[in-house]
This record gives sequence, C-alpha cells and structure tokens, in this order.
Amino acid sequence: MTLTRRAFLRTVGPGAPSPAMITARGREALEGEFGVVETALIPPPDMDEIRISSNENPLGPGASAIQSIKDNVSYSNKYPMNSPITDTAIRTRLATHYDGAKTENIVIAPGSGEVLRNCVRAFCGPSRPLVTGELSYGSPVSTAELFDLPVKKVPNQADLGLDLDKMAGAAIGAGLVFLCNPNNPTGTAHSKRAITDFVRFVAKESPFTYILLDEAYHEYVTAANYETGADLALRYRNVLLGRTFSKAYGMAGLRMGYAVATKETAAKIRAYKLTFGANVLGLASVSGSLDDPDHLKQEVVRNTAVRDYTIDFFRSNGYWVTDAQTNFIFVKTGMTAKAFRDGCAKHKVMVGRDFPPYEKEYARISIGTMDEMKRATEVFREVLGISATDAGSGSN
Amino acid sequence: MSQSRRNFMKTMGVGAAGAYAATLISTRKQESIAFAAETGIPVDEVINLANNENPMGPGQPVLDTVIESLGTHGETPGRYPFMKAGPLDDAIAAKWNVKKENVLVGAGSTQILVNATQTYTSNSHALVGSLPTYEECFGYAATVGHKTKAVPLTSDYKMDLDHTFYACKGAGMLFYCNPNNPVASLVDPAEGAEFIKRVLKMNKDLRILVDEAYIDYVTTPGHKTMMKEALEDPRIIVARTFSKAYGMAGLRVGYAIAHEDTIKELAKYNMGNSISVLTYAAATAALARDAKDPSFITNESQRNTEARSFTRKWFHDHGYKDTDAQANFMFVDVKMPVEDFQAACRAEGLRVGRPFPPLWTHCRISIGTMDEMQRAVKIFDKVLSAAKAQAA
Ligand SMILES: Cc1ncc(COP(=O)(O)O)c(C=O)c1O
Ligand SMILES: Cc1ncc(COP(=O)(O)O)c(C=O)c1O
Repeated sequence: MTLTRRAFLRTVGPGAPSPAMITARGREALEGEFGVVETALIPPPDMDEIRISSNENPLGPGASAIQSIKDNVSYSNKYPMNSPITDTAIRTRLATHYDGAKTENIVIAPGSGEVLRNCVRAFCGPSRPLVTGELSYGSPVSTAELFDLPVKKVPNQADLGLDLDKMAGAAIGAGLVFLCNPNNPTGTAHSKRAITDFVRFVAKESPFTYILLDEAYHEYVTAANYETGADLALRYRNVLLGRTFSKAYGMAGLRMGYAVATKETAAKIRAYKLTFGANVLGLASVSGSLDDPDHLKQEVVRNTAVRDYTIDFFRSNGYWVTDAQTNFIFVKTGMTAKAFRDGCAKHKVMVGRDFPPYEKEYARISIGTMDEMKRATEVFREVLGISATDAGSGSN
Repeated sequence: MSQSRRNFMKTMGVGAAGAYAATLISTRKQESIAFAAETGIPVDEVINLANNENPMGPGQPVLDTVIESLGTHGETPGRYPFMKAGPLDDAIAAKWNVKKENVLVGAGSTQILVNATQTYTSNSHALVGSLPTYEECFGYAATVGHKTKAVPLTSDYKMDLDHTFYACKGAGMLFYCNPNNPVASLVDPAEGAEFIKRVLKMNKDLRILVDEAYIDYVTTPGHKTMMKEALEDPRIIVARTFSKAYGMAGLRVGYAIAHEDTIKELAKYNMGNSISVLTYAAATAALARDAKDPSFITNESQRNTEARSFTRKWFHDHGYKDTDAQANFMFVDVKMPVEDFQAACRAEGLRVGRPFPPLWTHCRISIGTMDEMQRAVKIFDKVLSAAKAQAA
C-alpha cells in the first residue's frame, strides 16, 4: 500500500464511504455539483481500477501534444504571456478553425468549466434565471446556486434528449439558456436544424437572453444531422459556444477550454476570467494537438468502436440505452444507480454517480479502452444478473 | 501630455479615494493590452525584466518530475486532476506545520486574491489597498461592482499606515501587499504588527489579506510571515505563490493559509478545478525537495539579493534614487517619463515594467540573472545618457 493510500484510509476512518465508492461518485459529484472538492475524501488511483466514471479519455493526448509539453517544460517559470506559446497565439490559431472568427472572438479558459461559470455570472441576475434541462450537466446550476441566482429546470423528453420546445418557452425573459449539445449525462444530440431554430426563436422572442451552446463532446458525435453551432455564436450576439480539450483531445488534467462568441459578448465573459488562468504546459499541449489532427480522428474512430460495442452489449441483452453520441452512455439498468455502482465497484469498475431524478433506474457509463470495456461488460453482466446465454431477458 | 496622463489627472480631480481606485483599474486593462502587443517577440531574444518572474525556474529535478508524471504513454493528462490535490494540500500543511484544513490551493495566488475579494468585500464593504499596489483585487472588485478605496503611499513609497487605518473604517477587506508590488517596499516589521492589531481592534469585521508573494526575497531583519497570526485570528489570510522564488509562474499555483473557518468560506468560491495535473506534480515535488533540503529557496533568495544589490548600486552610482527593494524587482526614479524609458529599453531588446500611475517617472525593474543585469545596466546607461543629452 502506498503512503498516500494509507493516509487516505486513516483520514476516512471506519464508517465513512469506501474509497471505491467515492471514486465512483465521479468528478462532477465532488466538484461540479458541490463546488468544492473534498480532497481528503479522494483516494489515490488503483492501477487495476477501470475508471469509467468521469467521461475522461483513457489514453491522454497524442504524441505531438506530449512532445510539445516536453519542449516547453523549461518555460514553466514564465507567465503564459511570456512563454513561446501564448494564450493569444492559441486564440489566433483556434480562430482559424471557425469561418469569420478572429482572435478577439476566442476566450481561453482553464477548462471549459470556467466558460460555463462565467456565462452564468455575466448573464443571469436575480430576475433573469438560468434555464437548463432537468437532466443536463450540473455545473451551471451549481454556479447559479452559489450566487443566489434563480434556476428553471425543464424536464427532458421521453428519449431523454433536451426538450428544446419547452426550453425555448422557458427562455423568455431568462438570463441564460444552458444548451448542452450533445447533452451530459444522456449523450443525446440535437440536429443543427433544431439548434438553429431554437436560436432564432430566442433571439426574436427574448433578445436579451443569452444561449450557451456547450459542445464539450462535439468531436465524438457521429449522428449525420449534427453539426457545430459555431457559426451561430459568431453571427448572433446572444449565442456563445463552449468547447474543451478535456474530452476527445485527452487533456482533462491540463485544464484547457475556450469560448467562441462575437467580440462584444466575448468581452462580457472575459471580464470574469481568472487572470493568467491557462497554464503554459496546457497551452503547449493544445498547440501540439492542433499540429496533429489525424490523432484526433483516430481517437474518435476508437471511441466510436468501443461505444458501439458497449451499447450493443446492453441492447442485445434487452436494455434501453440513449442514442449516445459521446464518450459515455446512459443506460436503463432497472436498478438504482447506487446499487449498480456499488456492485461494479466491488469488481474495481467505477461507473458514474447518481443523476437525479433518474437515479432509480439509470446509470451513466463512460467509454474506456476496448480492453477495459470488455472487462467491464463482464462485470455488468454479473451485477445485472445476465447469464451468458439468456441474451434478451434483461429488464426493460 | 499623454492620453493616459490626461485621464489620470481628470480622475485625480475628483479627489476621493474611490477615484484613485479607478486609476488602478484602468492600468490593469492597459497591462493586458501591452501583453497582447508583445506576442510577436521571440521570448528567447528578449531580456524580460517586466513581469517579476524568476529567471532560474523551479530546478531540473522538478521539471523532470513533471515529465515523468505524464505517464509511460502520456496517459495521465487524460484524467481530471482531482486525485492529485490531496498530496499537495498535505505537503503544504506539513511544510508550515498546520492542518490541511488551514490550506486552500488556487490556480496561482491570483485565485486566492479573487476569492477573498469576492468573499469579504461588497458594494457596501470596501476593499482597501495602497495606490499603487498589485491590481488583481481592485480589478476584480470593479468587475463585480464592489466598493474600493485606494490610499496613496507615503512620500518614501511605503504603505501609509495612518491613512490606511482611517480608510479601513467600515471596510470589508484590506489588501496588505507586503512587500508591495510595484514599489518593492516593506512595512517596518514592528510598525506593521502594531498596525494590524490596532486596525482589527477598530474594525472588528475587517479581513486582512496579507499577500506574501515576495517574502522569500525579503532581506530586512526581523520580518516574519503573518501565518501565525492568521492561524489564530480568522480575520487574517496569508496568500502565497509558487510563481516567484519557486519559479513556476507558468504553472499557476498558489495558496492561502488561514484559520479553518476562513478557509471554508474561501473554498466556497474556489469554483472548479483550474489546476493542471502537471502543476500538482511540480509543486508537490518542490515541497518534497524543500523537506529534505531547504537550500533551494535560500540560494534563490541570495542569488536575487546579489543581482538586486548590483543593479541598485549602479543606479545609486549614477545619481538615481530608488526604494529599499525587498523583492525580485526594484523601483527607481529614472527622472524621465517611464513610458519613454520603457520604449527606449525595448528598442534595445530589454523589457522593463510599465508605468504605475501616479508615479510617472518611476520604473519597476524585475531582477534577472546577474548576467542579464550586467547587460541591462549597459542599456540603462545608453538610454539615460541619451535622455540627459537631449534635455541639456
Ligand atoms: C457538458 C460538459 N461541459 C463542460 C464540462 C467541463 O469540462 P472542462 O472544464 O474539463 O472543460 C464537462 C465536464 O465533464 C461537461 O461534461
Ligand atoms: C503581489 C502579488 N500578488 C499576487 C500575484 C499573482 O501571482 P500568481 O497568481 O502568479 O501567484 C502577483 C503577481 O505578480 C503579485 O505581484
């Protein structure tokens, strides 16, 4: 046992939740939802553990990104604006990915989480609520609660996708609509057409309402009718796009994300930005990644294959799964998220936390490597009581 | 008269302490504009004495640990950092012999400064600080519409404790930057200790944020950290950074030491985790090294003191007055508009500090390596002689 692991066990003591259970609650439970990470309760990693709880990329960034980190480590003593790869340089480079964008349209953040927080802070007010899906990424709600800002939650559709019609209705008079596309934790994505209609409607009916289009999982989408809404963010004053390097780019640990918006709107959230937020090695890694677009393509192909495999496992055993377009899936296991999670954790497979009000029958499972998912599905089989031969007889 | 000077005079005309604060805010914006303009310069060709960075870095063993921490196949950065936070909290707590409940880590001490401002000031409870001082808290207060009061320094460029005392009446938080950036001066240790007691007695609800970013570079005998006071009194917070003597400005990590109740209040606004896994690795490794051998920081401090003394002596020998610098930068009256001085140095490939109104002829010069300072004084000589010749 390593020293830190021992220290952890001592801190937690008898009667406290087990390290495995805490891991299984996932990052958002600790951080996004409650705002503060109780570091004492976080166990060190166990090498045999399969961590499919936090929608992370199990492989990390590509070789070009890693090389760029190595090349730039000697600039650790420089503030980011003095390092060879400044945040302005990265903004300029990212701008070239979007038609008509300039450096001023990009806001860099230490993780796109900052974009989410700052949109809530910049655009919501005591009489201007946050509108979000009932089952959506929870961090904007946490921010609103922290600053005593009102929240309107709109129930999801039957397929667990966001209910855009009802959200559009709720948007009237709101400060900000958080539109997570694809949506976490359901993995569902809306078509470009639906998003465009939504934006047009809100811009017309409620011109002072902002829309944050969170495309954290953009790269992983395979649905044919999906497309980025970046052009909307550049065209409409009230639309912002959130993007991250934490998912397909494999840099959750390096804390890099960004927003795309018109110059005026970008300035509104930039005002809340943490000064010098993005670190030099994160910037270096982004630069290296952008040099190697093929690596990103391969990662998407890899994730799609493993996602298909995992979805197929559940569906062929009679379980309903959302139309997940992401590096995670949302499954109707028919048992409580807790029972499923604890059952899996006994076998060192860590799956997602509770997602109320769906915690009684659903679980979120992130996509690991093919190898990991092959082991994990064996564990799911055992926990769900699926015998190797009775495919099709699971609860539905 | 330059545009910024004219604006400044207009602001001064209003006269109230609040008006001084407005000046701090606009210079903060100026700074980011200047940074943007600078991106075209290859970093390796410039002597950068503009940003109070440590030219030596954190040391090769720490950098090696960063690279090792990437994992065999570079997989570690794929995971969120939250599992890495505990070991750093523990290491900081062990270093200062406090509980980890007394520690809050942030993405640079910037995050601590921002959180404290958010938590302890409001539109009725002002932020109080010196003019000039480090602008982060004032900039944030302006963004969120919190009240600010800035108190001009004394004629010897030190914090004006008497006027600060009065400004703290009814205030929410005092930003006590010691040594003070940009002027590099330190409050007299005995006077400072007495002042803090007195002001907390006068305003029982006041919080004091003691920013000790540059403490490792202080050479004044008898100067001590305020951590002991902070642990005893929940109203005092000490901010520390890995950006200066530890040489990790680009990695973005700092922390607060305070009473456990205060840490809880601050943690509430420590929104999200903005610290990289590589940064955790670096900071944890640096403290592990300290625990075995504390000489890294004492050596860095000594290196800085030598280069600082050399540079200060050059200015004294040439008839220029400076403050009693106690940091990795100095503050000297170059007897010409600092904007012009800055531009002339820049043309020679040397970056020095920007103007810090209302001190229009003082320049903040960060201390580089001895070699850099030897090259820099030659440039200063050229620039200042040319200015003198022109004036004559
Ligand atoms: C939908 C969504 N948006 C934003 C984030 C924040 O990610 P980061 O701050 O790592 O960019 C997450 C993280 O899981 C997410 O799921
Ligand atoms: C007095 C003072 N405090 C805080 C900071 C912020 O530093 P960091 O966020 O890098 O810790 C600085 C930076 O120059 C400073 O001068």
